[in-house]
Amino acid sequence: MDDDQLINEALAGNSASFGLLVRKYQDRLFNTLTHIMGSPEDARDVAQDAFVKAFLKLETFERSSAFYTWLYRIAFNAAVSCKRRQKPTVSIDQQREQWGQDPPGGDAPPEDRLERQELAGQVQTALSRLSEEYRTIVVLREIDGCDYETIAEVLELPVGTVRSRLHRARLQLRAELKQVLQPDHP
Amino acid sequence: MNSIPDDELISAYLDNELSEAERARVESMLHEQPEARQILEDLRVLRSGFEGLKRHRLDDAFAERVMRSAERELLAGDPPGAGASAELRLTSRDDADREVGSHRLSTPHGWQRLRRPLAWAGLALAAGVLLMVFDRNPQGMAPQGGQVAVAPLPAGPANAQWRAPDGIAPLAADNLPASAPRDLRESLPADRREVRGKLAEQAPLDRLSAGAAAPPAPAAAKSSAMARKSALAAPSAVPATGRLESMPAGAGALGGGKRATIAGARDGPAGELRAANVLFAYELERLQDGKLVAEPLDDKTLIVWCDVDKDVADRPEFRQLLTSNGIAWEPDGDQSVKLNGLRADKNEPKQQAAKTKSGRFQRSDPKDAAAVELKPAEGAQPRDVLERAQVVAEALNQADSDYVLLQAPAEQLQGVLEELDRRPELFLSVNVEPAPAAPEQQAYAAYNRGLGANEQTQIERARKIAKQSQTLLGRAQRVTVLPQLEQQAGEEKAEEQLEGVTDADRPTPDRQAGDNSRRRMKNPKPAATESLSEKAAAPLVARGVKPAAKAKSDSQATNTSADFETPADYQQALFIFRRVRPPAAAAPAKGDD
Repeated sequence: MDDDQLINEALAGNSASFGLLVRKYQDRLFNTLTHIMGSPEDARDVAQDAFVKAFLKLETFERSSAFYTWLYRIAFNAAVSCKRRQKPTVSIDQQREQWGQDPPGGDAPPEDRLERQELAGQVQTALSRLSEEYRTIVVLREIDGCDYETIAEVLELPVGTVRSRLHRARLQLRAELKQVLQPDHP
Repeated sequence: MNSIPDDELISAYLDNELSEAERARVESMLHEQPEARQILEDLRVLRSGFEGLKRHRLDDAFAERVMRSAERELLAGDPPGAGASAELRLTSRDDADREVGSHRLSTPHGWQRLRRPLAWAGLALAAGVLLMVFDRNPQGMAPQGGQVAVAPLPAGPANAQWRAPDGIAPLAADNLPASAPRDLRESLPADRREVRGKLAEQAPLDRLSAGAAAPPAPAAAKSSAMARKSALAAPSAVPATGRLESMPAGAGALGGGKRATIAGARDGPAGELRAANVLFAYELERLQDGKLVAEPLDDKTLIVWCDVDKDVADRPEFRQLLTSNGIAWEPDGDQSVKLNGLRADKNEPKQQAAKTKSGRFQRSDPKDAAAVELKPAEGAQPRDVLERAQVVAEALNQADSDYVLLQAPAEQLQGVLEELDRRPELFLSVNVEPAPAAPEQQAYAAYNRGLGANEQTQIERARKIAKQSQTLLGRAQRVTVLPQLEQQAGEEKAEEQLEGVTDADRPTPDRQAGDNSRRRMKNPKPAATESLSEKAAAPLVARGVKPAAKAKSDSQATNTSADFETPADYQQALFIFRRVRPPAAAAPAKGDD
């Protein structure tokens, strides 16, 4: 069943249909939130909160966008609220523990799988150093695969802002990973 | 290559988010500029790094936890994972004899959507419970298939413990406020008079003893597995042999065909009544706790329901309307006000409800789920207050609603309502809900203008009034009176022109109705003799600020700014804006006739 059908059924009182929607999107949402928030625990809480709110407010979903986009907006707002209540996060050691990656330091170029994993870890660390604003937009694009329009809708920004902000975030990552990206350049 | 736009194009090129022309431009750039190629290559490598990131997944039980949490929130009004101090659970029990509309009760959408802290669902539960309570076959109410778990009052000095007052008929259809959804009315049985009569036999409102709480023993085997959240209060309010227990919300609370019953019903009608009263008292208690408090909302507060077209673009008319009536918008920074939602940009600072004596209003973000603290006036029936606040709270927590809480001199508020009445194009409907315990405020209901069958009549009436007002210099033509604005000669001129206007000439909504009690608002001070400058100065003076230019119409004024300093002159109104789909048949009329 597609999202519309599931939503219709949920609105008609069949909460199990909403459960199917949850199963359909839970991993995607959780993955995205984890990378944004830096903590799987927080992401889990926010994801649950977002789904619950979506359930309770399902009647207000106007279907002018995809359900996931609407859900994501709810989740994003919940994540912002959650972040506000929290202290700043994650040390490198905590990251290593969470992500299983080493902090940046090596000079090996990203060529084979091992190097790719190392690159991934370094990207992860660099990602965690971005501002929340930059990190969110990069995660939405690079990890969640959202197009600019969807990102704009989720974050309630103009598309032009999405584009420029994403680019600045990438440049920042690029600067941080310069040695990894361009090992031949001093 | 350092131009930002070019760089951005490279980034967008990587994302395939370019137009054909832009793509051609980038490809040309890539061909010509090594730096551009390097940037692109770096971004590609960066992307490959993202592809290698771990994918996080949730366990299979997550969805179930979500649904349980949703049900819990639905029934208890507590946020998910908040460690709610109390929970309600509506469990299933098939009973074809009892038509409690529990399918409706269990449906999470529509009016039953509940938000903290005002436990609308708790009240709905009470409705279902009491339907069961007063069933004539007590034996049939033995909680075999399920039980109603009623969260008892949390112990502690913070709890104002109440017993339901006499005369309360919980949620009879005829007790519902006018704005209650039809579904709710239809779901309730008609024999509430009997319920009310029985309740009237109860003791008057008094307080339960705080320390008398005792953990109830499980009434049935089913409950033994359930966690108990807190102790019951006041054993005297608890049926002798029955039990009210708390149980966590669980699966099964939603869905069709659910029925409610109440543990303790086996005590018979007396026990049932006591149990029901405790339930009601609990709900009242939760209401009065008001975890997130915005402004006090007593039963003299007007509720003004304003429905706006969902598709209407942002319009500043409401703010203009307020300022034209001397009610200052005091933003905390440069904030835009959107009429359809009045919802702040998420990055905007939240306004605080500073207590001032000036006419001002507070814009709040419904996403914060700010509650309305309920404060029953002396002698007011808590039931009325409770019901009223329930409906209000439910509306406030709609995603498409927002509210403005306004405190202003009564006359200014009247002006606002008059202007709303004259401008049907501003809102699809305006319905003023007067305070139940303040009959004189019933006059505000004269400004009601709603959707539906009466709309055309109301629009025509509004047109007529607008036409009448066009012959006068209405408030809309007055200069806005933001505190920082100096007095302008034009205002005084306008005031002079209005000077000849008597109260009888002022457009009022029900002039034709002939119902004097609703005909017009009684002005505390005749508007025509009060200078606009005085009105403009009132907010300033009330705050101890002298306006830049004193009104030269001092001699005209029969009232002074000091009159507005007394709280008694102030009226509180809660404007609730709801985005709705306009009816297909009629659209608000505009313009000429």
